Amino acid sequence: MSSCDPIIEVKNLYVNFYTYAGVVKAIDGVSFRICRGETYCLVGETGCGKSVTAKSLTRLIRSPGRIEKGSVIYYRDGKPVDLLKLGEEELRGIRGAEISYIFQDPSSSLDPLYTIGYQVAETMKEHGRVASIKEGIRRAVDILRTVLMPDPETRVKNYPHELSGGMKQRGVIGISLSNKPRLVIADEPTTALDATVQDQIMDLLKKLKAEEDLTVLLITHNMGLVADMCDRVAVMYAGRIVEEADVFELFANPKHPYTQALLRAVPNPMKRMDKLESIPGTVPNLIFPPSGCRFHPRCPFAMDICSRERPPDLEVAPGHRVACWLYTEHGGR
Amino acid sequence: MSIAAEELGEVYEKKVLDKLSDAVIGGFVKIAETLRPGWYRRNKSRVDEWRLMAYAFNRSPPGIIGMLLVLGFVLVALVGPYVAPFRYDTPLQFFDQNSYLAPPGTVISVPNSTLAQNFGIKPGNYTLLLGGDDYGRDLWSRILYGARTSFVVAILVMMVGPWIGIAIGLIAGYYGGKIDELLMRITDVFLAFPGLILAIAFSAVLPPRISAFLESHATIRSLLLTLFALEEQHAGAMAYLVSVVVALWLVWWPGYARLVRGSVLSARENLYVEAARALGVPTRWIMIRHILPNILGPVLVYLTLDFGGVILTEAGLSFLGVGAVPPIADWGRIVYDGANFFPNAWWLVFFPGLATLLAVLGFNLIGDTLRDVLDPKTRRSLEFKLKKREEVVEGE
Amino acid sequence: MAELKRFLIRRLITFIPTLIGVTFIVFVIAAVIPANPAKMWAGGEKARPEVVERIKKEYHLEDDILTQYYFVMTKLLKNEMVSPVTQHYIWDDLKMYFPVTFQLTIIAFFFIIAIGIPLGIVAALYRDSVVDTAIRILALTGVSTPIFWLAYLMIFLFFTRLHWITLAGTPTPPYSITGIPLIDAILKGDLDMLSQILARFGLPGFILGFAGIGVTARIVRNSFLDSMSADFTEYAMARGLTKMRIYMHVLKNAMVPIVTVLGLMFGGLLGGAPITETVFGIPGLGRYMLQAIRNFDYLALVGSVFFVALIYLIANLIVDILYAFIDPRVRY
Repeated sequence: MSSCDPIIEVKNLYVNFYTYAGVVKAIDGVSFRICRGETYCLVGETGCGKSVTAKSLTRLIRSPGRIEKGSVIYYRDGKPVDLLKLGEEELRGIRGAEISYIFQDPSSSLDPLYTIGYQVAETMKEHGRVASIKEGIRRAVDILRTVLMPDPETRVKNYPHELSGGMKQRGVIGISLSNKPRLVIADEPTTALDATVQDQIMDLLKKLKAEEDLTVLLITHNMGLVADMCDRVAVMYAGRIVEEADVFELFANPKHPYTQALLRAVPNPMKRMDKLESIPGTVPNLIFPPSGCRFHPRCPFAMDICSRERPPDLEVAPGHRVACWLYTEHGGR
Repeated sequence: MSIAAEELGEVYEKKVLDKLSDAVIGGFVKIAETLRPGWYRRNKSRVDEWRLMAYAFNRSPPGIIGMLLVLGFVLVALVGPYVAPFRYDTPLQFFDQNSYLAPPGTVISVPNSTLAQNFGIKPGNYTLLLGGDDYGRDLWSRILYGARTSFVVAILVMMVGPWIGIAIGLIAGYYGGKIDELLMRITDVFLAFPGLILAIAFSAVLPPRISAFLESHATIRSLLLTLFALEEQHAGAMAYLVSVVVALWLVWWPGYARLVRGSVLSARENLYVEAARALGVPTRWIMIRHILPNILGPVLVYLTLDFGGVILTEAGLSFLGVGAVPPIADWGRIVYDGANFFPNAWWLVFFPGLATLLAVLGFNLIGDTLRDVLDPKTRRSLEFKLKKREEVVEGE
Repeated sequence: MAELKRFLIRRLITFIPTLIGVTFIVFVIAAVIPANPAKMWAGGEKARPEVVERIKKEYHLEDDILTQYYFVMTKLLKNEMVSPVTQHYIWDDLKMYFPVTFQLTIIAFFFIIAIGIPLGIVAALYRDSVVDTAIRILALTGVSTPIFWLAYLMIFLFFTRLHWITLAGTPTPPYSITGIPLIDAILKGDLDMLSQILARFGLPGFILGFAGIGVTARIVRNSFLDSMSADFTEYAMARGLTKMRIYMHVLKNAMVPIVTVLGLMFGGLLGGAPITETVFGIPGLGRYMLQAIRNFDYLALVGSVFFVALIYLIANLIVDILYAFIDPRVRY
């Protein structure tokens, strides 16, 4: 993993939501890099800013949210472009064609008033891949076949409410792959599905990734999925990345107290565990986030400096960075 | 361009109105606390919510304009009859011919006579601010009295009509089954025909009965006369007005029945209602304690909007000649009578209509703002505007 | 198609109890509450007793209420009922007055759609801006304005001052296809007739629709916003669709509640006609009903209400059918 050919690079991203109760500082200085061909995971609890980060990549943040600053460098055929500064029309050409999304709930992602075939077809037509909707629908049959939709010839004419949850998500995956994208952002793609269907969908994603030569950004709160799917992992907490490492490194040698606690809270595939522990305290309110390190109120190793200053990003091993004071001269570890 | 937490955190810069609403809510809390010690502690989150709603309301210019219009209307309705220069039925034509269809601003002189003394008018010169009608009655005075008429009709209608609907909706929604089916069929029938026609029909046939009723119930009669600020000898004319009230009771409920039933059906699905039922809480108690508070929001919005709606409908009925009859001062009736002289005596149409518009608009503005304030989704956008502005200031 | 047919039959059957309910209520109000209608019909206080007796016999006024109601309804529907006040066949009168009101309603409805929907979309696109607030105030003013007042102001402007409109007569073409002059003139392409009709009915139609314009604009705005904030719209953005195409999705999804409200409004417009028709002196169903109420001619009233309720029910039925066309989830 030392030679990284980056496909996208997020630098110092800040996103705020201007809500009823106050300004939610949802993303607070996030930076990471995804290499071509890998599966990169963002993990964390609900509300930690994973989805917001994913949507920020192509500026899908809508009112009352706003991207405050930062840059998202997309390496388009080797040439870097900053997606946050790109013109609206040019960015549209990238969305759904070069960078495509799979959202959490397929039932609400699909427009209920159009057939699944139509929605696949229009996604292709809008990016100039087919000349007409009609041709698009013919092509949609093949696409639905590649995502293992049963009986694609009839399903293509079905409306979303006539499909099961798993079939709908296959349809959404079909849409996202219809334009042969470089990067697929899968935002909790199986959370809204039945457990049995979840496995099928993940297997499908794995298969497609290999066949279509994709780079995948997978967003999940499920550590099992992380272990199963990911090459590299970033752990998010309260709008910041607290630790990033190779998947084996992370499970074997977690550095950040939050990552450690998180791994103790779920079955760890790398270790034998006698019991699971929960993380004491509650998720912080991001309108008034804790000062310094946002984890310090819940951290068993909190020191003076943790509440005063934001911890620096430290590279504790090659490709393993962690934002924690413990690994500085203050912590002495 | 710093995004430090402390600077953006507290967003409510309190304004005069906020302090005022704080004081009102504070007063209410004090009363509740005196009546039931410990009330505030138990209801703190609710009171905080009220406070936020009030702040949101205070930041909506339409809401504030509406509040001012309604306060003005209520004030005129309460004191109008006492500050009006003349009584609603004083025919100034007896004293000065110029008052006949006098344009706004006409000056008339009332000589010293026994007749003037009988009407309680001091001799001297008077300016007819908004002009006079075909009996030489002062339009300004009649509009002031007219506010009272509209207000009392609206209050009387709103005290009964919607509540019939709310009760029917609660029963239908909660019990469901055959009762629901029957009640909703009846509601559908009422919804299927135009309320105005039904109200006209009722208003047309009711007066003889109402008149007889008022004659035999002296207390109710004199109470209503006082409420409407009418003279004893106009009790007969008042029967028509009361008929309108009764007619509107009978047509103003189906919408509420529908609304409440729908809300009850969705509230009934809530787990806490199921839990209460599982615990054996009596049905009546569940409805009053757990379901009613949850549907109060939309009902409140409709009540506010309909207050205006009743004023408008009553004016419309009077305009069609089935509501108030002369000499009662009623905005719709003034237009009806004045229309004979339109467009020459345009003021007889223009001013009462304008008064109706302003009063109704007030209630509609408040109701619409309340809807925004009570709906968490839109409330967010209401306050979002406020924050954006502050932030721009900070950015510079 | 067979499904649609079955649906229509089922719905038409449910019309019957509603129509019976509506007419029965009016019948009770108008026939039972006032004392001695026969005397009023015969000429009030001066009525000769033998005439009163004859009327009582002829209209079964001594029978119990259900028999009376049955008698009235059957006679009405067979067009055998003569109004004791006007001496006309009631059904004939209705056939004459109804097209006038229907035409007025269509024009009002046209204004509502042509102005209300674009205004609502503009308000949604520029939400929370000055434009949005202006449209909101306009909408609220619309529902707050006494329409008789607005009517007089407009008459003053367009008739007294500008002489653009006419206030007398009812333009009737010499031909009849549907029986509704406006539609006939359009079908025939008779521009002269059409302009006459619009000069007479345009302003009243606008006045009648005025309140509805604002209401529609608000509904369109809100359902447009709802569908703009829906997940599928976000996903449409993520798919990289063009703005036009995203709006197509938004608009189609927003249509569902809009169609409902418009359907209900059509029925409401018919009911609002009495005021407009009175101001503009239009001989339509609204004025006919008013006249009937004033004359205690409850037979004419029951007939009119039957008509109005029927149109309301048909409008609802059309809404349901449109619904199923727009939304594949809705089944007949």
